[in-house]
Amino acid sequence: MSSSSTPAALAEVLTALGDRVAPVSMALERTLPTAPECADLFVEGGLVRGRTLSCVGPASTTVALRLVAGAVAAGGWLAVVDVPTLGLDAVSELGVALERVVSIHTTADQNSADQDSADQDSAGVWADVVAAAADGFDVVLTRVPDGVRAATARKVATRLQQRGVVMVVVGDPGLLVCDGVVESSRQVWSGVGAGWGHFQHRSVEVAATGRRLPGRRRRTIEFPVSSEIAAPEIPAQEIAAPERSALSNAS
Amino acid sequence: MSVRMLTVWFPDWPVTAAGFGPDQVAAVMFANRVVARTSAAAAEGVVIGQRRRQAQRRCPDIELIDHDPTRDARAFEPVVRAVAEVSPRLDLIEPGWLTMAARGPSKYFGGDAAVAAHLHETVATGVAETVAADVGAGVDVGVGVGVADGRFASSVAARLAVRRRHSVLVDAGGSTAFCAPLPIGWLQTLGESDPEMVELFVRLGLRRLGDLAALEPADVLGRFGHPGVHAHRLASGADVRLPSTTDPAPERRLDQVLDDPVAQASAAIFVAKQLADELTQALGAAGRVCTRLVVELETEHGERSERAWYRSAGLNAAAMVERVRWQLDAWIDLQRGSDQEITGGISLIRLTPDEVCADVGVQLGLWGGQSDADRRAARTIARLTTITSDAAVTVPVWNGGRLPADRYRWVPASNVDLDHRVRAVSSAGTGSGPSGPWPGALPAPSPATVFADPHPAEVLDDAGRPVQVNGRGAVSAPPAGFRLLSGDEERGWRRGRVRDITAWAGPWPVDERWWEPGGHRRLARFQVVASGGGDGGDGDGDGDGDGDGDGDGGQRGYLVVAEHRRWWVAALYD
Repeated sequence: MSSSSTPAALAEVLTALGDRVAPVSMALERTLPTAPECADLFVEGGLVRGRTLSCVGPASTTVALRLVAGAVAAGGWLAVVDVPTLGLDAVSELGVALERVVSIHTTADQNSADQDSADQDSAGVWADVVAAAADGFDVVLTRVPDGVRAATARKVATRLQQRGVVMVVVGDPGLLVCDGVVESSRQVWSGVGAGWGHFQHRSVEVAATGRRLPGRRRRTIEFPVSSEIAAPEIPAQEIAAPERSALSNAS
Repeated sequence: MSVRMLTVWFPDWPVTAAGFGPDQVAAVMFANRVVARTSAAAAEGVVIGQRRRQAQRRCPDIELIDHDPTRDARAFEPVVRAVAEVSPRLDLIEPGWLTMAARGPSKYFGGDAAVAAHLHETVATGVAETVAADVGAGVDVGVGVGVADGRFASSVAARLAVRRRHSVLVDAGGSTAFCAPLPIGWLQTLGESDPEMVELFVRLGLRRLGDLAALEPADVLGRFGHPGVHAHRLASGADVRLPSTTDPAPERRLDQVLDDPVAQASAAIFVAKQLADELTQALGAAGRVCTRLVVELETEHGERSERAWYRSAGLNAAAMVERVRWQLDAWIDLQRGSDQEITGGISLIRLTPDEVCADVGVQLGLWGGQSDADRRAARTIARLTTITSDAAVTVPVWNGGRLPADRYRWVPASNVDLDHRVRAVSSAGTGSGPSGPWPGALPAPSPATVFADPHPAEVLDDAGRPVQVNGRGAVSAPPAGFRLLSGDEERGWRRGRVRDITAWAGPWPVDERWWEPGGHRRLARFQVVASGGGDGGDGDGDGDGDGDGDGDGGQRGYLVVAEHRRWWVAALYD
């Protein structure tokens, strides 16, 4: 059929073209989908593979989870490194599929007398774990431990770039150089008063800045968002979405 | 012509392995569901698949134990050794369930009935002695022995044998007639077909195995694909062994001689992981999957342990490693002084695929099976486990509860079959995710940061006095501010900066597990909005470093809990 061959031919031409104009358009193509209301924060409309983002501010964890929700919904896996306090109800409410979430702890249990060397050790394990997670996961959500040296941080960043993994850092990134900072600056809660109601709704002002993000993009995100994430418009060839086919011949 | 098989099956092996006799009321739970229960509990109405709450309602004094596959395997080892005396060539399907070819032993003992009776006696007394020793003598641990043509029919016979309280023997050539009147649900019970597939059969009016067997194989293939044909073959009393099953060439065998014998199980498992990956890759390249795997372990002192593991759906690398782990753990745990005791480090690990068949399982991808990303993640999880430890790599499992910290539990990823997890989560809701409302829990949105160990705090009224909540859930004064405490009680608290409370709601009292002295909790929850300031409460409340104080900061949400006359910050809505 001609209708199916034309896009294929077009894709071929585009690929050839992409090779010739290499780095600029590649970045655009190599994106992971993000939640629709977060897409405006980035010029590319998604999370560019290989980049490190840091989330700070009073709603940092929520925003970080919402950033990665799109990629997980499209079939990617999320590695949570050293965020033992993650509230899984919130994770699931923000649209992240829990069956593709794996948590890894790196903090060693030994009570070393020498605090500095213990820090160094745990920072080393953290780097190893993030590097290993980069092989199999699409997104890494982490908190950077104390004592990560600049050289270690650079090594981790290089590895993530090679593997095309997006890392989202919650809280202080330390010496890790982040490509973008997503800052939640103000949040306003509603639904609760002087002794009545319960948390229902909040609006969070979010701004994205950083060395790879031109200008300062702001917007206000209203939580809770509808938990439905629309099917990614960007064809995620690399993340094969295991869609449940409505036309499966069993029904 | 199917091979004549003998199956030994223990009903609810996980509870027996946990050391409970049939007279005690106990159940083994996984992901908030009952996976096995004693017959006493069954008599009270505890059903497999039931939620924790329902089980406790049926039977308030029930003992609930967490599921531990390794414990099951360890406890099963003496049984395997006892059965191996009768026939060395036996296949383990899972702890509590093994099959073997019946022809040899049957000739030796003089007939199927004799061998079944002999096995029943050996195994039942063996289990009563080892596992149920602390329960008391004379306990009859249920065990079923069944003989029939083909593995499926003999497994069904063994399960019926438990119900009928005597061994079930099916005549040679009688498997088809034996299966025909049985309900089609047996396919699901024995793990051969998906629940969805079986449900579909029932909806289509195929209520008995015979109904399905009466259809033309070609029609079944056209309509249901390979899984359907598999079900059809079983229903017709044919063997599980697919026509494409072959005994692979011996060079498929993979082994690793360890020059430095390893004394730690984890190191041996690591080697096994590499072998299993290599083996599945080699088989996968030929489009085959291993259904029967022989694992051989040898120590530097020459002691050997050899087991055949069977899984009709095929063993992937993770499943192979799991079986090596079971076998090794069981061997290490063997009683001191027995003749096959392990005394040295492991020096040889050998994986031999004994039966392989065409990998038709890949077709399942259409129904939402494994994607490439899933496979990569599973490999990486195995690797991460070796970098850190088993307990450090975890996946969430729904647990249920009123407090945010109770609602999910992290279980080691190595104890969870990640392939089946996706399906289990999406269809039955057994893996994770609430499958219904939980009365008394706080409504959404939920806090994004939940502390396993809540931070001590102080809540003050507008005059700076501590706020108190009385037993009836009344607040002494409206809370106006709160501060975090650090340090400990003996050396005196260091008090953080007071944050103004701009809005609050509560108290929502919780009084749970009051019938249980150890687990009783009584507390009141508050949601609090405080203004401004860095929080310093991120994880490690050491010296709240909120010197930066970013001015406006907006409002921050906290979940504050009053318990034992003290205040705690249990979670942040950050």
